[in-house]
Amino acid sequence: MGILTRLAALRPAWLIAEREFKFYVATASFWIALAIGPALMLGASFVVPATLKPDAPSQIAIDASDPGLRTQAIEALVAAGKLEGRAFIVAASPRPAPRLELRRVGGQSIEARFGAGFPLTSAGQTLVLRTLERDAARADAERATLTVRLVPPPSAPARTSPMAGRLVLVIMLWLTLTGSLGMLLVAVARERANRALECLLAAARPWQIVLGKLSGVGAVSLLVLASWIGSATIAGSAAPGGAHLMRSLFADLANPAAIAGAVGVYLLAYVLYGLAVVAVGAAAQDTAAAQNWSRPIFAVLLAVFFTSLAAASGAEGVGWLTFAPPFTPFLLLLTQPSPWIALAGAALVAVTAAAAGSLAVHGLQIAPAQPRFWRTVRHALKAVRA
Amino acid sequence: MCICGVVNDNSYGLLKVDGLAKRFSSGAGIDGVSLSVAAGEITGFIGINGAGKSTTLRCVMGLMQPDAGTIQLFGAAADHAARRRIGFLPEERGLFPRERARDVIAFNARLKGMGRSDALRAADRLLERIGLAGRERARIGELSKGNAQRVQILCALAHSPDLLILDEPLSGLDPIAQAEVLSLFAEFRAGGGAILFSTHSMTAAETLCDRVVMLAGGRTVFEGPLAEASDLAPHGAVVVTSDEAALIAAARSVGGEVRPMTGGIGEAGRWRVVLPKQVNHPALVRALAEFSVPILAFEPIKANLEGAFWDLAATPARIAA
Repeated sequence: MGILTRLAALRPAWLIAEREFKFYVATASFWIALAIGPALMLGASFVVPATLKPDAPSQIAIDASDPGLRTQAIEALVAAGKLEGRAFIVAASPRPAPRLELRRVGGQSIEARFGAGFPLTSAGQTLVLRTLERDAARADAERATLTVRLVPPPSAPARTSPMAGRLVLVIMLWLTLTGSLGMLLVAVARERANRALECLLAAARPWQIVLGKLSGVGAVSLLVLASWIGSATIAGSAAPGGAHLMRSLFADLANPAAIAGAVGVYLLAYVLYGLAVVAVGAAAQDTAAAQNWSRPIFAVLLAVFFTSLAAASGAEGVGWLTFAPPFTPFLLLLTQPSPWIALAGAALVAVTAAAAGSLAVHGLQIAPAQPRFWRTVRHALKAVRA
Repeated sequence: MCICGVVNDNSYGLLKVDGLAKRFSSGAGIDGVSLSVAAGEITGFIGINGAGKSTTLRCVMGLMQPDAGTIQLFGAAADHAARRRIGFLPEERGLFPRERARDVIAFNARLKGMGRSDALRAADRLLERIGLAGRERARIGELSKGNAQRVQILCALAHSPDLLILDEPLSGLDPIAQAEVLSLFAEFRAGGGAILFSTHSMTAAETLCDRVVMLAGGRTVFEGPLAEASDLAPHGAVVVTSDEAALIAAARSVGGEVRPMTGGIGEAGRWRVVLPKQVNHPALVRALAEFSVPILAFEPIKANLEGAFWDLAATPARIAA
């Protein structure tokens, strides 16, 4: 019975969340905006490699004093061309084309001349010459080809994912969070701006409204995040060479525990910042006031972003910020501290979120026609004392 | 067609407010509001602007915590579950322009515990009842202001409440829309529902109400049947004149008294002349002529609800019922 009653109490919150979700999702502008990011990502993943494709085969002519030398020159040109992403078509002699002239001078020397506009860099041309020398030396020695193999140094198995991958996750979290907070602020402020708050309060308790708003906008933000990660994965696996890049960036995403941790950190950040924004929106009299009051929150988020960049580049002295709740989720994701530090940081975030939630609920409870921010604070302080 | 949820036993009060007080830092508020609403009755809640009507209704709906007093709903202390049985139209009201009429009505009904399909059916039925059939999919922003307000009233009705509490439901409506809404309320009462509504329209109150509660200076100054309120009203006239002394003398000659009012014309003052019940208006006009009172305006006040309102708003509390 107790559980049923509690579940029934969640129904208004669910209905409000559903309405919030539909409010954003049931518009063409949302889907257009949602499609633009992944479309750009997918487009870039195919367009960029296409621009790096080897040039069309270039027509060249080889003018050699004997057929053996001509054959060796062709092999050397193919090897050098591969390194520069070029292919060649060797034209018949009389046709006008960039020309390579080879002449034996005495028994031990060959004279080579690359004609004007020959499609190889000077490094490539040098490589052709060195290859001809090597092949000639082998022929003289009449021995089997010597091969030298590169052996990679032994590497210890990586305990953590690469910093670049974690930074990408932090940036994704930051971008999604910033967008969601804007939506959440509008979602709360517009109730008062449209004078709809009293109607809502007459039917639902303040905590149900706060939970509903948070969940509805949270679902929208997860949809956006999922579309980004999904398109990044598709782009990574579909684009030439992209799979390797994605593997290196999202090495941790193959680990279910790491995914759970990242999701937990995201929820922690969303609940903390979301409740702070709802508290501001609930206390503000209109949308303009809500935006003014929320500015410090976005300033803190900007500081968090730059701190994360500093931490990613190995800056020292930012470790203590793991215990500063606004920074905690991002630094937990980035620095992967020990479980005890992570737990302590998460606990501090939870306490701060609870305080913000209390402000949000009290902000909605106060006489809706005349809200005042400081009255909210006073009310909350009174509640804390009680 | 019945638009009320249940037929209630009329022997107990659906709503009983006793000694309600709420004081704001500005000094305004209410102090000693008492009223009751019985099933099947329409109660008019009347008072000038700032009398405390909206504050009282907000306290009843739990939107504000009163400093003192008790609120009983359906025979027990007011709680969230009891408040879900109330359809509420607040003074501060508005709808999201992007929402559709049908959806917003259904949403409000579902918030009060109705199932999805029932809520949608109720929305369709009510929209048809009020002449908005075919506009279910219209967005609120596409509706006229009057139609949007009608949708808002339907939001309060959709979940078949037992009690309707409406704060100025007629404001912003043209006379035709007002008549439609009043007929809707009458239908609700016919189904056994009770209504407490605040209004500035004495005509609407006289047309519809069984009982009235009058508020002045944050206190209940009258509560009782409509007929008793009208009986209490002294009749008289509003007179605009520049000769105050002559007016007082003329009024006294017929046993009346003179009270100053605001809103004179130039140097001429505006006065309210209160007459004893047995003295009629022609007698006052004769007296004014005898005393050569220069009259710029003369407006008779009948012994009706409006007259009672004028009088009671300026007098100490009188509980009739």
